[in-house]
Amino acid sequence: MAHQVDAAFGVVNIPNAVWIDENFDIVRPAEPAWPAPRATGVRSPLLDSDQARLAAIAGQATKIVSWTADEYGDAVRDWARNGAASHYVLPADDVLARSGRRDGNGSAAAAHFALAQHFERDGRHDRALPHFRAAHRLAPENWTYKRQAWSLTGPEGPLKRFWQGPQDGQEWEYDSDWLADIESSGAETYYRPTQL
Amino acid sequence: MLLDDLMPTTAAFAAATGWKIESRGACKGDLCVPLPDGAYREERVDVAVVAERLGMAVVPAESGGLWAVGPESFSGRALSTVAAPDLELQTFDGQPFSLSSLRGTRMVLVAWAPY
Repeated sequence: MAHQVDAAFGVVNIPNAVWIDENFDIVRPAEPAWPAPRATGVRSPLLDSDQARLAAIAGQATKIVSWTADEYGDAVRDWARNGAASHYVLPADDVLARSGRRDGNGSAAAAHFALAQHFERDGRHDRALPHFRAAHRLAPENWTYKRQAWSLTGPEGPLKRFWQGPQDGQEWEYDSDWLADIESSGAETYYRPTQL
Repeated sequence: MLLDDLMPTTAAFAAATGWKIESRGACKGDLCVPLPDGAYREERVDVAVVAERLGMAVVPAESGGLWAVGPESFSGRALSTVAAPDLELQTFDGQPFSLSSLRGTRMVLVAWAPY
């Protein structure tokens, strides 16, 4: 298996969704998509973790902005009922304009990411690593490239997918990690601001 | 997209990139981008020429004999057309699944990963 929706649709983070109509045309491009309205009054147990990194990650996670979570489900249901008449369906020009920027560096990053996945699947992490690093350098806004690479290392266990960074006493192969990146860029930028 | 040949067949190029090579140029959905002479011949695509025209990066593997071709970037946006690409995916039980098999219905394609 390999990631495909980044190159095909411009998905750079998850959860994201793309709406495709009966004619196989995209009527909403890749954008943050939510299964339910924002939860209120729920406190992550990770905030109380005795591991400082996990507590810091949980703290940053509470600051992430789920831009359209409260209305997303209603928008999907409206489109299901009304199809092309739904006011959530975007004109073609808006679909393209909202689909995210991609320049030559973005294309090169996708190519490097494809090679990295190929070598990683082949058990050649030593060959995959420089391509992961190149993808990260060329497309720093792409969380898919980073989170996939970071999750292939780090502590084993159920919290591995949250850790995404260095461990005490071990060399970290990448120039950044989830916590460092989100602290420097700001949790509010984790998802591109969107409106329905 | 990975290639082991920089002169693939037009069918292989279309399957890998979604761009069909026609007399009008490289086409995806209703969009056709004119191509220079020499971009294809005898049902084979000169990837270097077409990639440059469409803004696709071509990155070689150090081991040789393998290249990765990035998606088009000539429009400056992730999507250059609203025509959806036909992804070939795999179900959890290993069966092939083509996104276009859902043509005719509305679909919400949700991307998620457990990392």
